[in-house]
Amino acid sequence: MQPVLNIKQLDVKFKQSTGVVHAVRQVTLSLGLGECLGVVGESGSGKTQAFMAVMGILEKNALVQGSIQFEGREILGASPTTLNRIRGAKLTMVFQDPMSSLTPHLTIGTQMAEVLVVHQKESWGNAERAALQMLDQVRVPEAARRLKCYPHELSGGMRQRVMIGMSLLCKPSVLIADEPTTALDVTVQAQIIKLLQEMRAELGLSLVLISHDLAIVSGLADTIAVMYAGRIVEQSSGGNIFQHAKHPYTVALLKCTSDLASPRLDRLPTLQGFPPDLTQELPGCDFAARCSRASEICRRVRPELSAATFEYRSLDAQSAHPVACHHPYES
Amino acid sequence: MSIARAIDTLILMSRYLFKRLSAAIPTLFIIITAAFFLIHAAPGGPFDQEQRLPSQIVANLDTAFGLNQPLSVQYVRYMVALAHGDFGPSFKYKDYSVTELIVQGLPVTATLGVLAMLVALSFGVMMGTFAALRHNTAPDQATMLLAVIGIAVPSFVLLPFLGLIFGIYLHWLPVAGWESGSIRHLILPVFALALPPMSAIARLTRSNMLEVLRTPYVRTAFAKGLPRYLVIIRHALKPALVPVVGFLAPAVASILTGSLVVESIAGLPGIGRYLVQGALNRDYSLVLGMVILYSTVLILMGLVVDLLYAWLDPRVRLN
Repeated sequence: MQPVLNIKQLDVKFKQSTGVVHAVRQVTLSLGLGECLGVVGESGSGKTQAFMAVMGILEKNALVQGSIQFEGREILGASPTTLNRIRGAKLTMVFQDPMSSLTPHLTIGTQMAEVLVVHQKESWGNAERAALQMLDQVRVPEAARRLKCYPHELSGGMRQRVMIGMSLLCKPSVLIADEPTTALDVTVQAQIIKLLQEMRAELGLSLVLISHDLAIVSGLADTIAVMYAGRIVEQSSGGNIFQHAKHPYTVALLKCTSDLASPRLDRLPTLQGFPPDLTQELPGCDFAARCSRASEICRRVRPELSAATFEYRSLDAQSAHPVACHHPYES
Repeated sequence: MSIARAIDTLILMSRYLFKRLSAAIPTLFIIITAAFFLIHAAPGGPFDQEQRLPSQIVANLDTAFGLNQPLSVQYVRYMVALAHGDFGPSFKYKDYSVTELIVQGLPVTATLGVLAMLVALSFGVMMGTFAALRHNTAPDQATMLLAVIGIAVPSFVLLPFLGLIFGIYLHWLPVAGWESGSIRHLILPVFALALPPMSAIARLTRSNMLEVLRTPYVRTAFAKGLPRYLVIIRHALKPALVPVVGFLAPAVASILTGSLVVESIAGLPGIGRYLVQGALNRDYSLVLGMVILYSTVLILMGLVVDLLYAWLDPRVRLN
């Protein structure tokens, strides 16, 4: 079956005065129709940059290589005009910080309606009516009043609902949610995740959920890709990652997940050391310096992802479990 | 619902305007008082000339204009007359009242000033936006070089230079004169007057636009698939203009003082020269009249600036 979004050997580099930052390295991912893909990794692992590249909204100094196919068509390197027909309509993105991701001087109604005006040539009146319906659908109370509000008049959770509603107006096939709950408090987090789940079921969305929080991703995602230093280091179904993590980085990440039920610790577990400098190319494994299982070979030879072209549907979900490690944990 | 909201806004607005305008009266009062005593503290008087007048004539003149009275009495008499809308007679331009002088020349200076302001704003904003969209390319650097020159070159150099090129060599435009405000006569003075604030506005717009283009909401607008011109006009321009609005009052001040130079060089019958000439001549009433006019313009400009802030950013509340 043809995936909706197919990313192959994606590389993203940023030219800076201090050198070239190689933020995304040989990332290959695919997303099937109606699937949910979780992308996990710490700050700077390239997870956001990879999907900003998909949307074509990286800074000007970015150099993107590889292939990005959306609904069977190559969109990497497409002209802004071509991209503008897709993004915001069929391919949409919700950002981390709802506080600053909405334009402060435009009303919610205007910002939502303009999507339909631009993509479907609707009149402003019709577009606002559709926006009103959408606000109801994403469970914004008193939707008619909120439509006339400016972003600063809404709470963070409300704004994220508006962002999600705005991204669903043209019935997209893929929604990319970049840390959609990170800037929100815990109770609101749960509501937003629930909303995404409901919308996915109602609209048959394919969802990319980017997060640093394994617990949030695991509840929603069919597949999880773990990224470290711009590369995918492990990929499998949510359950597999949780119970049979193979990569030492994933295992370390899981240990850092705080658990309110466990006995109180003096210190929260953390990952020792820092991620590598992305302006340098290491010959071996990027994680070797922080890894407890690292040996001589890890510093010399880079471990390849064991099944380089991982396609969720084509393999048995439970058994497909590629990992890029010389000494993986055995399940 | 929306009509009720509009009426609410209108009431709020008029209440705000009334409050701000009544607050301007004590400000003006203090400015007038300070200017009155300062100009009278300057040595000499309006009738001191190189060729001395007979002392009897000076004494007669002083009596006629009330200058022989104690300063406090002169002050009270001036303020009372002012309260009745009388700015007094000019000491130097015989047979003219200050009001007549200002009413004659103000249209010229106002035309020049308003046009210069409009040119400075529209071209400044366009240049700044253009440069920001081509950040770190040759067009950007050329625009900013032009802006630096515009800030650095004073109008008393620029205007004769422009006159030389466009007037004398090319014969395109007249070098000087007013001709009851024909457009051809206005172009060079307006441009010379507009160039410094235009350059400052271009630089301000550029740096703010660059900042706004990096904000998450502009990224959202691009991710929504809006064409670039819509992202700029609808989402980025207003926030980028906020600091430009803050520059409007200094820009008006720069145009008011600049009109003195430009009007003298181009031989325009405006009021630009009255403030400085009046001060040199000890033409007390004319200086005070000009001070009142300029202060009022600047105070009103401050009000306009605050209203513009509220229009640009809904988070700003008028109260």
